[in-house]
Amino acid sequence: MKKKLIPLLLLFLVLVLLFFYALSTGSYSIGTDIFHSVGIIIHQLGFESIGEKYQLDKTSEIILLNLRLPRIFLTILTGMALSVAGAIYQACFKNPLVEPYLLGVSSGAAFGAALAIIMPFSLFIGQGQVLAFFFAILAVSISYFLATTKSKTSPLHLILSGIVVGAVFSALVSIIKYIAEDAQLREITFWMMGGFYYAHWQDVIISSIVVLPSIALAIIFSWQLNILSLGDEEATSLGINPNITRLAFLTIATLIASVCVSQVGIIAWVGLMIPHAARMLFGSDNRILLISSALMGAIYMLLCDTIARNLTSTEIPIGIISAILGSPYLIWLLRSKGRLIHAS
Amino acid sequence: MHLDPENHSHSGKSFPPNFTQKRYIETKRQIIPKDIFDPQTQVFCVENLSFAYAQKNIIDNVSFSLTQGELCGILGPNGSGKSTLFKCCMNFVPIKQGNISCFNENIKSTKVKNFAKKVAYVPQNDNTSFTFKVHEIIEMGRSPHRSILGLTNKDYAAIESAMENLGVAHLAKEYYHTLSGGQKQMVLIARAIAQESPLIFLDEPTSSLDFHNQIMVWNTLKSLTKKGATILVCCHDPNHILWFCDKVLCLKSGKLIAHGDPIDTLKNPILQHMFGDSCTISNVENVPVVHPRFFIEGE
Repeated sequence: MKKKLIPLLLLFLVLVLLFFYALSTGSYSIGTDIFHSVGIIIHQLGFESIGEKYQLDKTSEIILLNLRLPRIFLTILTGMALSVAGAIYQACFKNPLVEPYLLGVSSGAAFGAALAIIMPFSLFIGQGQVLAFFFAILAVSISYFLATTKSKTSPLHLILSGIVVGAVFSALVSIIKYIAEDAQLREITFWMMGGFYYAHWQDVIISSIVVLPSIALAIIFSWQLNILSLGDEEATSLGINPNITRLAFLTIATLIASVCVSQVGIIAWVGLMIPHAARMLFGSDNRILLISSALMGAIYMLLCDTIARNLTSTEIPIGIISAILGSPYLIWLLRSKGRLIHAS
Repeated sequence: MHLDPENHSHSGKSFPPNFTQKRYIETKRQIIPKDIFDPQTQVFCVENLSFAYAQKNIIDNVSFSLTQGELCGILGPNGSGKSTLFKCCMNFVPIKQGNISCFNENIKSTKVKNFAKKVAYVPQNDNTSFTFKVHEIIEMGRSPHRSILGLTNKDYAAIESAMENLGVAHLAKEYYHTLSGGQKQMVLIARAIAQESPLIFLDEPTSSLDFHNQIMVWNTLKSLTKKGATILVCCHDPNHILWFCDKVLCLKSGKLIAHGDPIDTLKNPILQHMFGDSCTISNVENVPVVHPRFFIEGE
């Protein structure tokens, strides 16, 4: 475990560097480089003595502190949350092919968001996000309820009921798309591709309140995930109640995935790919895997978003970048390390 | 080899002297301290257990008990309820009729964690889709003892001694799925030893092993019972039970048709009842052997 500390620290360092790089680039040129952006952050944190050199004009300040910074934080939180949720789902279902949207988070959220978009009136502030979150949780709860018989929940039943619930909500989204007007249809499609365009500090605060403690909790109890991934009977014989433990972990994973999806839309692929990549680099021990997934997810998401912001003058939806960039990397990992790491 | 079905006599374990002196992995650590080890103590007790699945009786009024330091085998044809009985004993399935107690505590009311401190389980083979290293697998055995702060030095000591006891210490850094069948089984037994539970239940531990490893595993189990462990094994091979076990439970259609010392119990009528006419028992150089009754002769 101690041997893996250095690679983890390196990952963290990469994340920090990328953070400052992302801050210094964008479609509006502030004329800063990485070192400059470090200085600005230190200056803004209240160390006035760092000097006049890092004073910003009003426009730059707004762009840097109210547009880029919250967006970068939201990107990091989302990357962490989706990757950790993916790793948890994979361990809970004993299946490395599972992603965090398995039980209907994405289709439920899509329905909620679409519903909010076609509503002719707005009931409350942030209606889209609240409805997306509510329906994401509702979809997963229905899946879980359908799969539970006699207070036992079999992973196979859960996967099946997740598929059923996902199909129903996708059909509902199709109905909404069918009756929606052109502008609304465009908005729904855009939402479903996911993106960080509208990131506010308020989103960052909500996300971090939910995501950070949840991830910390999952990491503390990650040794139970190892045991859970052996199967229900072995887990029981090792002193873990599989039903309760699985429910607890799925609740954590669903909660963090739903919060992120409701804020930034459906970002596919990350929750499946990053835990795999982390597993190939750091092994299957969930005590390391959750931490490394969180770091790698954050780096990856931030990298993709920075590219999405900078590659062309108009933004490319992040889902496209993350798939194009991620696939070759995963294939390379699979071919170079796959034989050692895959059980069959 | 002389097979002599007509003239076999069992008088205690009259194996030739070298039979029990084979080399095997001798476990060094005492599982139950010598001063409280008492072969008369009942540690596990099943009373009038019945289990039905979809209105079909799979276990029918079975009662037996295990005493400390006993190596007990469950024998029976396919579909006799062996696995179900085993699952009931492991508390994997809810028991409706009958009673199972472990150290005088009903297992229904025992918390999962406390039950794991009393009974360790060795599955047939580990079927995880993820690739753990050997030491990670064995560390999992400490989970019932684990506090929120993680593993303590005491835990690591238990893990290390378990690995040394079973001769898998040199495999600690290997990936579990790259090991041979025999090594895998040893790792899983080591996990059960690390769990420090006085009872160990094994589900067909030798089913996928070669003959050498089968004997290794059985001798290891035997040596564990000498250190105070009580072991229940689900097994398909009557010979293994004859050679190694202290007690046998013979199941047929969910009923316990016989139980007791294997050499006294596994005689032709019982074997016939379980397996039909296919096999019989003889003595080969004083060792009882169950073998096919008929051999098809070539032309």
